[in-house]
Amino acid sequence: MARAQGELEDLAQRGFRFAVSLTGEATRAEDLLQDSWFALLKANGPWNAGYLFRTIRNRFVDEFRREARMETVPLEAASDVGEEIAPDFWSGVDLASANGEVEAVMSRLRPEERAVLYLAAVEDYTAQRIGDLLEWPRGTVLSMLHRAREKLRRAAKGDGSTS
Amino acid sequence: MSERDLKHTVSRFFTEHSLPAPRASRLSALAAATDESSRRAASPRWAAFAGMLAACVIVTAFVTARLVSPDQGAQGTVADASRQGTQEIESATGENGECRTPRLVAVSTRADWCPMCPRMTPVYKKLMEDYGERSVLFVVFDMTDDAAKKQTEYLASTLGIEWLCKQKMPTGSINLVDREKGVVLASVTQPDQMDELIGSLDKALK
Repeated sequence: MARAQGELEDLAQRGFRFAVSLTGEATRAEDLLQDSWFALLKANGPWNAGYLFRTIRNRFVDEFRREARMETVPLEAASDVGEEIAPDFWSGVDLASANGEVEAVMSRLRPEERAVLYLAAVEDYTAQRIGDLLEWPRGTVLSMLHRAREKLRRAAKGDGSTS
Repeated sequence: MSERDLKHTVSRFFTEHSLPAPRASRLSALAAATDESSRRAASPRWAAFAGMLAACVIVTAFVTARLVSPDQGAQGTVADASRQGTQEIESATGENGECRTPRLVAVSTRADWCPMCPRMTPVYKKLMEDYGERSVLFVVFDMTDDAAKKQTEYLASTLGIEWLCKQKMPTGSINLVDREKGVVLASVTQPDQMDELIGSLDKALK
């Protein structure tokens, strides 16, 4: 069944936001989305979020590899972060006094940290589903999420360092 | 959940970015067109599959009826039903059981991008209404894209007129084909040329 154009526009917006989560800026995200969209056009779909996100992610990795800008980080086991994203995960950080610092830190996070935050917070994906999409073990996804939250917590306390 | 909680902040960070509307619209229109054309290209494949399935069912029914009731009427409702079905099948087939595909085929060639096609569509429909009950097969060859062309080739091959695909047939044309002789009896590209095609059709039907 052919999809309605409105549905596809919504999919393009979601793809764009995922691309923003990887690139950290809108202009490169537009280019990344367009490349991925044309790859899907060439392959005749399928037009679903999972496939689009995976295509965007693969294109992003290829692009970084070409530019030799890929920073490698050893994968971490998630021994101390539990089995799934805990219900109180999002409420454990007090942002009352952040004053815009969080947004600034968001743009300085590593691409993969922003990507897992986007998929968990906006798309409501589980750690397993994020792991399947990004081709990481679930434990790595959880540890990445906790690390990103820790950086944001520090930012909320006034320490803007993302290291 | 407070206004300033982490999930809300993260969500707001991402959702405040949005793809410019004209670009989103252009991308979705492209995808919608591809989605539609792939759906259309898939349809003939399903139609071909359904056709083959129907043919298998008919052949099975025919053979079953012959086995259950070879020459004379057999007893029982199953045999009666089979025999009745066989009679219907035989009325639609030739003496040797082969399908009576009409000798004459009226082929309309079309494509989505063809500016002439909308002018020829009502003419072709009228021809089909006037001659639909005569021994003429009406088929449409879709030349919109490579997938549609491939399906057209399969259809032509099934009808034994694959040679027609190798000829330069303009889109928006209607061609009258004699399958047995392997010739195009008439070909028109303008609505006002239809008299010529109808004349050839009447002559061939005599």
